[in-house]
Amino acid sequence: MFDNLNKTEKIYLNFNASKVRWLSESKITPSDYFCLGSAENFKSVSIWKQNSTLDDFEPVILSEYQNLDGYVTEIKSKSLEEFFLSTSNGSVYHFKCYHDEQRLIELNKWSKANDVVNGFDFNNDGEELCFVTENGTINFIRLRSQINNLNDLDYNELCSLNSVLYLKHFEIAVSDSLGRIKIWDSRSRENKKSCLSLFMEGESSSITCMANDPNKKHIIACGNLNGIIAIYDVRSNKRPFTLTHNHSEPITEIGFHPFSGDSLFSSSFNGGLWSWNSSNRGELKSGWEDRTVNFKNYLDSNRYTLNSFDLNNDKILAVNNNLCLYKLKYQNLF
Amino acid sequence: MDEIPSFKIFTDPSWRRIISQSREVFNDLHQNLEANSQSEIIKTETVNLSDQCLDANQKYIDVIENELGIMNADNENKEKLQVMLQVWKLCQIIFIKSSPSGTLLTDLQEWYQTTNNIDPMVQAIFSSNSENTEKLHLDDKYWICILLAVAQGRIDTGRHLLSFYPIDKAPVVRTINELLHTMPNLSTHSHLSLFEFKAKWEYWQKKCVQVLTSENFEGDDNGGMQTICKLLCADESTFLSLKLMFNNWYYMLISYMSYANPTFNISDLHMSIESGPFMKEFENELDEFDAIILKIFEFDVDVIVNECVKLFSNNFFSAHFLNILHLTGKLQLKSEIDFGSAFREESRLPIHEQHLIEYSLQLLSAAWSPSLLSLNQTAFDYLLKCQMDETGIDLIETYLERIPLTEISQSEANKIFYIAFQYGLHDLAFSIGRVMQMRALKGRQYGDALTWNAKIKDCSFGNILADKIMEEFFQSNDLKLLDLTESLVKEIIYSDRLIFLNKYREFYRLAYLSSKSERTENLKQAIDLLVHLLQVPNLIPFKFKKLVFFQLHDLLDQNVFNEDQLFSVLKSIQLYENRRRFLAIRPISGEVHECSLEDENSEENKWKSLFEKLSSKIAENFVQNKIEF
Repeated sequence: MFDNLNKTEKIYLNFNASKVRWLSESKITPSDYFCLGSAENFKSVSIWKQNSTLDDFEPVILSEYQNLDGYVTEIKSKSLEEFFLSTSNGSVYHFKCYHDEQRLIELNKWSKANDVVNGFDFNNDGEELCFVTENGTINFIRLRSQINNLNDLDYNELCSLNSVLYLKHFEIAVSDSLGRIKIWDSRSRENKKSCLSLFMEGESSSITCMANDPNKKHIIACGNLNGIIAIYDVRSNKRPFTLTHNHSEPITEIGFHPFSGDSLFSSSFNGGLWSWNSSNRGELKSGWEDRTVNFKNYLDSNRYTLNSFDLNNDKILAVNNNLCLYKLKYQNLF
Repeated sequence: MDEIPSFKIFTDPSWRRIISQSREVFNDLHQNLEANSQSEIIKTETVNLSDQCLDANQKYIDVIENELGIMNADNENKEKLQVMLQVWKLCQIIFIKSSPSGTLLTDLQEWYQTTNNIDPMVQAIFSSNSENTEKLHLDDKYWICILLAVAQGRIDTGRHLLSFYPIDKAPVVRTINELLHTMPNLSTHSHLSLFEFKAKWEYWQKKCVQVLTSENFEGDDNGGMQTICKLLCADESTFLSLKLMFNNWYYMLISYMSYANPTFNISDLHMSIESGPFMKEFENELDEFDAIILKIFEFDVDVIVNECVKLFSNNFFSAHFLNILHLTGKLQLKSEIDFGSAFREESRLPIHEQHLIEYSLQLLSAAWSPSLLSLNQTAFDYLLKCQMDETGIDLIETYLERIPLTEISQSEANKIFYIAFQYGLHDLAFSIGRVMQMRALKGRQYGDALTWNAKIKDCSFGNILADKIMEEFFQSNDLKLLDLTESLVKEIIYSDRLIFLNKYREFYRLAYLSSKSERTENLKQAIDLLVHLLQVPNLIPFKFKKLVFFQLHDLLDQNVFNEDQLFSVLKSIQLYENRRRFLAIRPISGEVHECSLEDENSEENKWKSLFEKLSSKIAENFVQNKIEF
């Protein structure tokens, strides 16, 4: 018998965080460390630790770095001690933290002048990092090379690019403000044409966030400014499966359940943290279209824009626009 | 002009937390009230209202108290917040909790205890005398502690301290202890009516007087016992003599009243302020703060409106508290009586809304530069509740209009657009869209311009944008320009040029980009499409017509035209030539400029070749179909 572990805890921070991310090798490996990237005019990133043995949620700040060149637009963790982040002033940083000594060190920084980095992703080996900017450029960084190797795809999209995901070793999916997802081959820098371009007819609202299924890399979920979540299967060209709330608030962040692609979480401007659950025990092979979807709002009481959330094992952290940091556990699904 | 106060303190972290938490309390309160008012149950509504307001006020107080608990000792805001807490608590007691006949003793005593906490002093005594408790009663602060404890109504603390006084030295200790023990306590005797309690109290006080007059106070070193006894007897001169201990007239007053007339209510309080000697005793030392406390005791709401604002130099307290008062209906009392305000120009708005607006404006001015959208949104929440004459919404609109859009990122612009849209400020949202689309166009980010354009459906700009994209395309032949409209097919029906752009893209893909196997089929479709486009009047912008014809020229070689199409093309060319002649005589500025190929000669040749081809195709068709004239 499972207890309903849905205790929601909240604390007030000193600043508004635009991104919260657990620091861990993967979403499955449990971790007690997380980092918060600041929003608006604060330019800091901080590392926190929560004590999972305590009943109450009382995270402690371990270290902070306050000299970023803009507010934080994306954070992705590579391991328990390393992470990358991008800022609104066109830079991508590589940080390493020493938790015991409470130190946070900037290892590397790559910049693009006069631009805003909207999102980035790195591939599985950690060899290459790709970031996309508001001026429509797709840029690659070779992480293992000695020289600061930054080069871009010789193709300048004429609209702002919002997020990027690595699907396979050399394949990236890039979403833009015209509601399209383009699949690119990252091997050649002189690409003039993407391999594939996916979009929904009649829905050209800017795609704000993307996530891929933990088990099947060809399934992508994306959320747009109109509050619509679309689940694409990259291998086929058919119309994506859409999920929508009964309101049209922009979606700020989206993420799959760490263990299974049958469950999806999304956060929106009006403060709800929704979980979409399509699991149908018994039928293993069917996609989202063939099952009924149940949905539930985990943060009913919150009415302020949920800026970001992240999942790790069985815990969720979320930050809203009124200085709050929430921690929840979700119900066991299996 | 006075110096304009800076509200930068609102960006200070502790203030930010207080502001955010208060905002939540404020929003929750109003939401609950609205939900209540829409429900069918009417009877419980009035009870719920005042309870909820009291709850909300208590929550505001808790917020500040929590923050003070976390704050560092050297934080410059600490003092001001402590004063605010003190004032807020007192206001809660006098304005919200009190009723005309209700007793104020417990609440006021609690206020006295918490704002003039003697615990640190008591703990100091115990810690410095921890080894040698026999010497405890010789400590400097010993008697002051006991007296303060008794004055504040902390009888248990007083008795505990008294127990350290050696009984054998002064047997009167036992009697005093007994008196303290039997003192009637309003909270434990709440089941009694006020009359009964008063009777009990008078009986007990008589015993105190008896002890004072008859008992032997030998062994009483500093006369401490006697003083205690005199306090219990409510001896005015004793209270006055302890001026230094009380430090403030209001503490002295509360203490005196708690022994002279424990069941005092608000009017008793007024009377004793006016007739009593307490204020006179402190006459030379009164400052603004004392004046504020005095006004609060006198139930003068003005104090919140004016003096408190000055004291705290911002409207945080007044906005929230006046809002609570307004909701509980206590503010109406004041405005009914005050006829003068009706003639004053600035008060068309009810007073609590004025303060809400002031507070919001202070928040907005703190957030102006650098921009802090979340602080702005906090202010908007308060402004929304100022509904008289829609002042609140107007102010929100005025503010949003002035946010500079030149340097912000697309996501921030989207946020502002969304906020404007959410508040129903559609004109404002439209103008934001226009600024952003123009900005994108100037930066040659045609895709972004298209997104904004599709969002606001601005027809004229859509046309301009379409023209620009087509021009660029014809110059650079860059396919991604055309592809921009691929996801927008159903949404750009408001602008015919954009529709044309889209159709042109379809044509181009069919004609030039299809795979070998489908080529002929697609080519036929493409030609069909193009000819239809030519037929629709005014669909193809004049300046591109020539280029379209030249493209037709290239396609004529592939044998995919049928005769109807050929004739249709001829007719379009005819119309085009007519138009060109007309424009030569009467130029219309938008249409005169044509997109040309680079070389004049090659243009001439192209026209010639076009006519040649057309004629030969038509002739071929005649021959094939054997149509007779």
